[in-house]
Order: sequence, then structure tokens, then C-alpha cells
Amino acid sequence: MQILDRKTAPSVQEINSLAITLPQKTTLSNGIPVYAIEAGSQEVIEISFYFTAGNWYQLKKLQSKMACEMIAEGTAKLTAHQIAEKIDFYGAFLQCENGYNRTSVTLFTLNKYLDNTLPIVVDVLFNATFPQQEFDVKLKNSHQSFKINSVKNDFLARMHFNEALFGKEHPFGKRLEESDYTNLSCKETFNYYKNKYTVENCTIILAGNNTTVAIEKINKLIGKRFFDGSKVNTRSRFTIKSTSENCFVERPDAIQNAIRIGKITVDNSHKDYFGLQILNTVLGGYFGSRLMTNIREDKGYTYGIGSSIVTLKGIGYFVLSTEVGSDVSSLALNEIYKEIERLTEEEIAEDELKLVQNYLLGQELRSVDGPFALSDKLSGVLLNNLGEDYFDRKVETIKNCTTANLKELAHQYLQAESMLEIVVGKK
Amino acid sequence: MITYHKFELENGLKVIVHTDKSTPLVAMNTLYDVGARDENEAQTGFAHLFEHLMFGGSINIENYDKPLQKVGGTNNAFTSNDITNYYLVVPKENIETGFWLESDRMLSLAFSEKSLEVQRNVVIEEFKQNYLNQPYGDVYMLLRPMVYKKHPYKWATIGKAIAPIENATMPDVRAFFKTHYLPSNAILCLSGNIELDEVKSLCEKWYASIPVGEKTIRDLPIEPKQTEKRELSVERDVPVNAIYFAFNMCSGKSDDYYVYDLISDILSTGKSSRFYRKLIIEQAIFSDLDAYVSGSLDPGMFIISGKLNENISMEIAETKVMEELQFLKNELIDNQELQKVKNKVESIRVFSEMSILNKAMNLCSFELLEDIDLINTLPEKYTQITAEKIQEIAANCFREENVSVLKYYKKK
Repeated sequence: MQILDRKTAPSVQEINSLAITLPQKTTLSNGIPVYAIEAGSQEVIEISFYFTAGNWYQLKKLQSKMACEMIAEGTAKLTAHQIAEKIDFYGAFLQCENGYNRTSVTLFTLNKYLDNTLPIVVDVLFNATFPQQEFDVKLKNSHQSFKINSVKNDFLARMHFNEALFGKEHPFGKRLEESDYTNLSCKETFNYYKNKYTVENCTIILAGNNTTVAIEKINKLIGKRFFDGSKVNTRSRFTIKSTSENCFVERPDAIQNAIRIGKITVDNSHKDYFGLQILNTVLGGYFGSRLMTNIREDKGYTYGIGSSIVTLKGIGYFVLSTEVGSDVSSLALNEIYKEIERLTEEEIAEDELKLVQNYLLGQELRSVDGPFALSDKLSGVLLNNLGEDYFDRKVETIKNCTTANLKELAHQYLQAESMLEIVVGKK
Repeated sequence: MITYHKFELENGLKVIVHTDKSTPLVAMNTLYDVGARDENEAQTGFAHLFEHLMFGGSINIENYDKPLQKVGGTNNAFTSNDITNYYLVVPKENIETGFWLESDRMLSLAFSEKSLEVQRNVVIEEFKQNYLNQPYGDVYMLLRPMVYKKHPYKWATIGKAIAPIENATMPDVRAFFKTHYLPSNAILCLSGNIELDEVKSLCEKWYASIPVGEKTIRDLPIEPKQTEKRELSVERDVPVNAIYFAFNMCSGKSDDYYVYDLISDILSTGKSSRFYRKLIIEQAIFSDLDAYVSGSLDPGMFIISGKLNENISMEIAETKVMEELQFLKNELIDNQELQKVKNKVESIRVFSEMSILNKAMNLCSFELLEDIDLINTLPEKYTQITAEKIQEIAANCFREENVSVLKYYKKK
């Protein structure tokens, strides 16, 4: 009988097939662009209506978020209650999400109830009335959430970091304050909605196993709405004004300090973007990263530490965040900078690179598993016209990346002196 | 309809296989029948600490995570009052690596001092991050001991305090492993692009030689029936007052569990729910109000938690919630509303079956409940619920003598 060798790992199979179901592109009768991701075997569908709205475009803080929240709060035909009743009755979900550069109104429904739920969503999109009472309640509740969040160290760290990174006047840097919650009127919010939630600003993405039929139904409902293809270009220019000083927000009773470190880098249209993503993975993008291995698994200073390269249409930034025991905060910071500097000075080992490559390829595989995962993955690329070969190029970069590449990128993009540091907690 | 196969090894390990070829991945879920309820009161937080230690290297394998990352896999785990659940998802070509890793740490851990020392600190940071340094973080630490006087559910999974975690020793750890991490105490599920034959041969290769060990019989104290209302008021450094109700309810094994679950949906799931419409929007008593069941194997809790609006007193808030519960007791729910919540349950189930990992976790959980067929019969448990049954359960549960109320005041 063969003795089982538990010490040797089973042989590793390379991940080769990363077949992405590319979406079909069509338009409605009037020209609204539609992308269909046909995948999966469950009889469900996700339909997302994206609008070129978002915080970038608002004239006052909270305007975009509140407009998004008010869409389903009443139309000419239906009250908020009636809308909710109908959506809930069919076991559907209606999600309105506000982002930095765009907003989305998404319907998740069983295929068998599409005829019941779709007309409600279309009504909500284009005929919302923004009733005052609903607005008042929503604003108040949002204010309440803000009060609660404002005592959380990581929330504060994020707000201060964004302000320091972008500058006080930048739409992504403007920090929310109590007064913002009394400074916004229902009318202003409604006007924002009328201005931005238009057919000209709309792109539709569907994912599920019955997309063709769904597109026909959508076309019947909005394919005749007047659309002249002219996008209202109100995309103003804002200058990023990063501060040069580190920031410490003192909270004397804290037992943990929230830390954010980062800087402006490049966005996902830049040639270095994929390489930077890989480098980021090594530093803080997975459980086995340099930061996790040192600061959590070796020192035990934290429950979690990580970093990301965030991309926001023409803007990209690197951010590292963690919450560490207040008593070890300085020690943790030292180790963090040590890890960043190591990457700029030493090439990583070949087997570490191989591990990260395989990990990332596995992640690619998971990210295309099923229609909703695909839709999450593809939406940014489709809406920003990053090209059909975007993910092919990403996979190529992962496979062909070298340790020298990574060191060069670290040297160019991750110099510790160029980073902002925000700490919220006990001194 | 989810198809599956089930078999058992000689050492007691139960194995479930669900084949789904629509994905290039396989999910491997291992459920150990051990949770916070199995701790002794002087050593709370131990089951969860142990979950962390399971990643500190096993007897033949120095590092758990790296080999998995190398084959493009991902993993995580969680602990509850009832179970400790480990899962990994990996490209199908590399499933054997999952078997190698999971079977080795079932066989034995490396038990390194360094790992214990580090994970103690990590867990303490987790304690701080989620429970001590968060507004409302200590709610369950206050609520649980109100509801449970004898049963181990009286403490939360994270533990009662940091000290026992700090003081955990290696002999404690070894003893815990020996008692609970046995093949006969585990349920393994493979779900995804894999067939029964392959699972059988991989199990034979990697798991069959793991010794049976000695299974302990669980003998937990039974919680005595609550006979009068319990109340507690506390003051904390939070911006907004909050209130929490915990009613005693049945165990997750009972058919009545599904009625309680449906009641929680009627009250607070979706924007057409009763709490949302009446108490958040129309009467503006709360900015947030949620009803949910604790979902435990032994008799659990039906919990209502709310954040009060600024000008609302605690007394009004409490009265309003009890009034809403009274409606459920006095009036039969109409067909439309009943059908609505049933439709929602069905819909959530359909969406969750898109995930091989969800299916694996559910199969293991249902097997633990000794009714693995629930993976397909669960919808019936809900569709058969009548308006009368809802009224009956509501009448029995929502009584003053059956509630603990925690009033959480912001410091003046």
C-alpha cells in the first residue's frame, strides 16, 4: 500500500481558460445604448440603468445622494408605499446607488415577474415627483446615520483622507458637515434629478439568461422616448490640491487608531495601471500580502490591513488603511513604511511573484462566475469605453509581469515621502 | 431542484457532493459541530480564537494560505454560537490542494507558540474593532445575559471579555482540538464542477486515515422559562438613543422557526414592511428599525433593534413597537401581505442558488439539522404557513413576560 505523503503539495495546475462572455451591444429604437450579458442558468435578471450623475456633478453636497434616494419615493401614478408594495410583492429588489461619477438604478427580479416589475422601474426613473414629506424623512434619517458614523474612527479617517488628498474644494474632497443636512431643499434635489436622469445620460446593462426578451420589453417602454443623442456636457474641471501635511485627529478615548496613507497615482486608462494593481496586491491586496503578513500575522497589531488602487474616471489613487491598537500605533506606522520602502528597494522573490500571479488569475476566474459577477466586473469598463480587450490585456500583464517591472513601478509610484498620512485616535 | 449525494466514511466524516458544471470552480465547505455554546464560562471566546489558530499551520503543512493562493484559491471562516465553518473556493483543476490542506488540519494542527501569541493579539484587536471601539458595539454583550441565565448562549461568540483570550494557553488549545475537531464532528461539502467519483476517491486518499477520536456528548443546561419582563438601561458615548427587544423563540430545528422568520419579514423586510412604513416613515419614531431571528440550534431570540429619532422618548418608542406587535396578535394578516413575504423568501432562495458556496454552506447546515432534504423542501416550510399560524405564534411570543428590553441611552 502506498504511504500517503502529506508533506508534499499536490501538483499545481495552471489556470488557462478565462473565458469572458463578452456583452452584446445594441441600442433601443431611439438610440439608448444597451449591453447584454447573457449567462447563468437561474431564471433571474439584473437590469441596471446608469446615469452620468454622481457627486462630481452636484452643485451642493448631498444633492446627488439624496436625488438617488428619492427616485423611488413616488411618481405621478404611484406613492412610495405603492411602489415598495409592488416591488416587494414580486420578490424583486430595486437598488438606487449613488457614486462618484455615476448613479445606477438596478432591478433584480425573477424572469417570471419581469412584466410586473419593469414598468414600475421605468415609471420611477422618468416620472419621480420627490414628495416633500418623504424628502424630509429621508434627509433626517440620513443625518442620523451621519451622526452615528461620525463617531467611528475609520469613517473619520476616510473623510479626512479624501479632503487631504483632493482638497477642500474638489467634489471628492469636500467633507460632509452637520450644516449640509439643513442646507438642501427638496426642490434643488428634484432639479438635479430632472437635469441628470435623462435618456441622453442613460446607458443600460443587463445580466441574466433571458436578456433578449428583456431588451424587447424595455424597448416597448422607453424606446420611443425622445432622445437626440446630445449629452449635456456639464463636466466641469476641478484641480486636485493635495495637502502636504500629515493629519492627526485626536480622539482621547480611542482604543484603536484608524490609519489612512496614500497618494494620487494613475487611473485605469494608463499603461501602468495593471502593473500597479499587481504591485498593490503584493503590498496589501490579499491575505498573504506584505502588510498582512507583517502587521497582522507577525506582530498582531491589527485585525485587518490592506491597500487598493482606486480608479475614478481620469483620477486614480493609492490608499492603505487599517485600525490598529492605539498603544502600538507608532510601531505599526513604522512597519507600514518599512514594507512600502522594501518594495521600492528590493525586487520581490520569484516564488512570491508566482504566487501572486496565480492568486490573481484565480480571482479573475471567480470574478466571471455568473451573470451578476460579470456585470459588476464589466460595468466600469463598458461605461468608460475602456475597450473589449481590457481584461485580455489585464490577464496578459498578470502572466508576463516580472519582478523588475514591479520594483520600477514601486520606485516610481510608491515613494513614502510622497504619501499623505491620516491618523484618527489616541496620541 | 438541487441534486446531491451523501456518504459517510468509517471514521464518521459525512460528505456531501453537489455537481454544478456551469462554473469552472469548486467550493469546499467544512462545518465543525462546535461553537461558542460549547465553551465553559471561564474560557469564553475560545471557539473563535481556535478558528484563527486553524490557519496557523497544521502538522505537515507550515502555512495554510500560501499553497491555496498559489493555486488560485480563496478561503475564509466564521464562528457562531453553534458552529465553526471553514470554506475555500478553487479552480476545479486544483481541488486536490483543498483536500490536502483541509484534511491535514483536521488531522492535527502544528500548535506553535508563535501562532497562539499572534492570534491572541489579532483576536483582541478584532474584539476592539468590532465591539469596543464601535458605537453600540457592546449591545449583544448586554442583551444576551438578559435573555439567557443558564444556557451558554448567554455569552457572545467573541467572548465575554478580553482577559480569557489573553490567558489562553497551549494545553487549553490542544484539549479543545482533541475534543471537537474530529471527523465525526464534521460535515464536508463539495459543490461545483466536480463529480461524486472524484470526491469519493479524494476522500479515501486524504481523509480515510484520520483517526476516529472520541466524540463527546453535548450536555448543555436548559434555559428555564422566562416568567417576567426583564429590563436594563445603560448610558454610552453614542450620538443617538437606541432600544433593543429580545423575545424568546423556538430552536432552528422546529417548523415554527419559519413562522418566526416570516414574521420578521412582515415587520421589517423591504420598504413596504410594517416597521418601515409606519414607524420610520409615517410616524417618524425611528430612523432605523429592524426585526430578525437569531437562527440558533437551541431556543433562540427574536430581536427588534431600533435607533430613535431625536425628539422621541424611550417610553414612546417602546410603546409603539409593542403596539405593532399587538396588531399581529389581534388581526389576521391578509392574503396579499402573506403572499408578498412568501414571494420574497422564494426569490431570495433562487438568487442564493446562483452561488456554489451558498449551496455548500446550506447543505452542511441542513445536514447538521438532520434534514438535508431541506435544500429542496425549504420553500414548502414557508408556503404552508397560514395567517392563523402567524397569529398563534405572535400571540405566544410577543408577551411582556417573554421579553428583555435594553434601553441604550446616549450620555448627556
